[in-house]
Amino acid sequence: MEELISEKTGSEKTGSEKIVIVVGNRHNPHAHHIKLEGTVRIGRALSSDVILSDEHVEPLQLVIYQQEGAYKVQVMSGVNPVLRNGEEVPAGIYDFVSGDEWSMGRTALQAFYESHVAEPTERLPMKEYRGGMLAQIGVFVATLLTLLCVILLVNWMGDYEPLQWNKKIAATLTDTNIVLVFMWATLWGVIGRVVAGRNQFIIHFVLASLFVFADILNITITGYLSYGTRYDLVWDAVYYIVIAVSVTLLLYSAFFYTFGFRRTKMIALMASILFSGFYYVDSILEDNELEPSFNYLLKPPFAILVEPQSLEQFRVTLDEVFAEVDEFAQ
Amino acid sequence: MILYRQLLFLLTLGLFSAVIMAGEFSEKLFAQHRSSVFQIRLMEVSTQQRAALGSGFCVGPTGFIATNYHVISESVYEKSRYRIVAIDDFGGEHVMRLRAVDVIHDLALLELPESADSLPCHALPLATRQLHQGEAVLSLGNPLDIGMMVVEGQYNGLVRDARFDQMIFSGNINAGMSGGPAIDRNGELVGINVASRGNGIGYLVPAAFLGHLLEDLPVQRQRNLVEVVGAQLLAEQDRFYSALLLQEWKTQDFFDLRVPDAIDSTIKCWGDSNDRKDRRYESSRIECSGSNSIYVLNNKYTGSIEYLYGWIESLDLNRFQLYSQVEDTNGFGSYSFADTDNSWNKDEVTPFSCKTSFVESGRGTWRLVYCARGYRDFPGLYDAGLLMVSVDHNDKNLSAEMTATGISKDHAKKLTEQFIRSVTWKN
Repeated sequence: MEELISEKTGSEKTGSEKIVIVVGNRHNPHAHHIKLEGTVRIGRALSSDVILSDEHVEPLQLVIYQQEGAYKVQVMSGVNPVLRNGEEVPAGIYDFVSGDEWSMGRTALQAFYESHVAEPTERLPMKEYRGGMLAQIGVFVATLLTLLCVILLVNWMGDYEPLQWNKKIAATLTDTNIVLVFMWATLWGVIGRVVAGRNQFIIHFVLASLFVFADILNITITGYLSYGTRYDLVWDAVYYIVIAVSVTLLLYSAFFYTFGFRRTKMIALMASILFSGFYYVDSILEDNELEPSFNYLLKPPFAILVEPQSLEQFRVTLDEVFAEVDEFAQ
Repeated sequence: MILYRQLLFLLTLGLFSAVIMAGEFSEKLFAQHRSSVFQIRLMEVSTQQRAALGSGFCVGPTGFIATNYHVISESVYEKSRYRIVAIDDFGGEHVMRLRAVDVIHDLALLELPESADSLPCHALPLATRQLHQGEAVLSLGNPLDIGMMVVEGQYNGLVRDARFDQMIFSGNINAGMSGGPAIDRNGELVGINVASRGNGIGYLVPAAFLGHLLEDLPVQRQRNLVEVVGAQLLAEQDRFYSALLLQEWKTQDFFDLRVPDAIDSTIKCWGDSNDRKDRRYESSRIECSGSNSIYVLNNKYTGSIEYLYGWIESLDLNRFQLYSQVEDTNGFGSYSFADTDNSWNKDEVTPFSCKTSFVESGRGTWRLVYCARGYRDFPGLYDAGLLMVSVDHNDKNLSAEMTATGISKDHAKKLTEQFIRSVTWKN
């Protein structure tokens, strides 16, 4: 413990000691180990000592150099912030502390004194690894089965024709939701493989399935509330809001897993607003004002959550209808 | 045997003579009156091409031609876009002015402008006597734009249970003969060609209505004809619905309910039911509709009334499946204002206004949707529709739909309320 404390006190080390820079990214933080001494220039420029292939990093982003026998770190100003141990640091000169993690763009690096004691060798967690794969496959199968069951149940609840289970199961397997979930997971799986070098199919499959569950719940619950109460417009609005929120979450999680944290929220929100906007415009364009438009839902008796009107009260409704027509005519 | 042959000879001779006489009758009358019959062309001004074709004939005061309203209806609403031309038997063209219309009985009166040469015809006299069924009638006109023709036929009485009187003509009236005269053996006008149902069944407007229009001519000459059409539609619906709402409505048993039957002699009902062997529910349907609609413009009609009922009883459907069936098949999902002609455009009608409610009536709870829209050219006239679906049973359901077009606000509201009250659960 004492040794560790002393290592973090940069000024106590002599400038002749070499430093080790561990360069990587979020997904592979220990990709390269570089041992250097003297002044070390880190950046995107080819003239750097550590050349980072990251377009979000400045040509010269960090300089580690010796001064009066101690290493210092100079942070250069740039478009994107530089973080030390997760906290943003402005441009300037800082003491070198062995083990500090520096993040810039999509690159993370850690700098140590050469004498920094390495951790003991770890045993490869072979069993745990196999278990992880099995767990992932288990999650995938469980999600798929749940999704199929939910869709089958929804189809069955709405089907009044003679039951033909083989056709019903075939229809469920080719249901638009299932197809879209697979397409979504495949697309992001490919993007994940290319961008992050990891297989992300299952996580995106689970996320898309959660979105479908939310959508089905949303349609069902707001449908019943819109039908059985006097606040049908409110529940229609809630329906669209829930769609926007769930789309945001889906996109946010997709960007998060594939591209990392930065600006993901904003991108997801923008995409979701765009999506909701298109959805709304599309619904307006589909409206034919020459066709009667009303809530066409019908539900079993338990769904009626209001006291029915008398016929006398219904006369007022008729008056309202004609008053609105007369307004249209003007 | 000899006697039999003599009788057969006499019978054949008699029939032959009758055919010869009938042929002579039509030949003589056609020669006598063909100059009174015109082809009527509705010309589109910008292209100088015909937009509609029909027939017409001289009637009433000098310079007047009668035809069908539906032949020239476009010119009522877009006067500057169309020109009405009457072509006489010698090919002479006469530009006419539209002076009076009867939208209910599909009649119009055209006048030759004072500055023009007089028409080469004499007015057909209106028959005053009652025709007998089977009596010979000649229909004249210019079918399919191929030339003036005469069609022999018989008068077969008035259309039974029709909202507007129309005569049945057993003869082939074809497209283009609309507005042409139908005359009896005295050469008097008994009717005006108006429609055909094919297979030798045609319809004539009784000449008496043309007489009424001639009487109304001085009044209509002073008025905007669109307003005249609107007033006629309003008056007609007032006549029809005032009587309908006063009379006791006949009801009938329909499974667990009593529902209105044919509520007027002009309304006919039809029935159907589901007979699939593997069905999961019993279903039946009754559809009732009025016999006449009124032609207004460009194949758009008004003045209809229609109502229908759909009954569903579950055999092995659960409550969710039952209501899905109702929603998709009989209920709101299928509600399209079946008898509302949706070819009206937004310059002619307002958008629909619709309201949805739960209402207690007839020993049950109903989900009601009421929709209406107005006619822009005819203030005070609306299309209105009601859909009511029972929502208090898990295993059976009734949907009822009622639509009335070209109806006033007051009549629509009363009709709706009376209809709702007339649909009742038996227990």
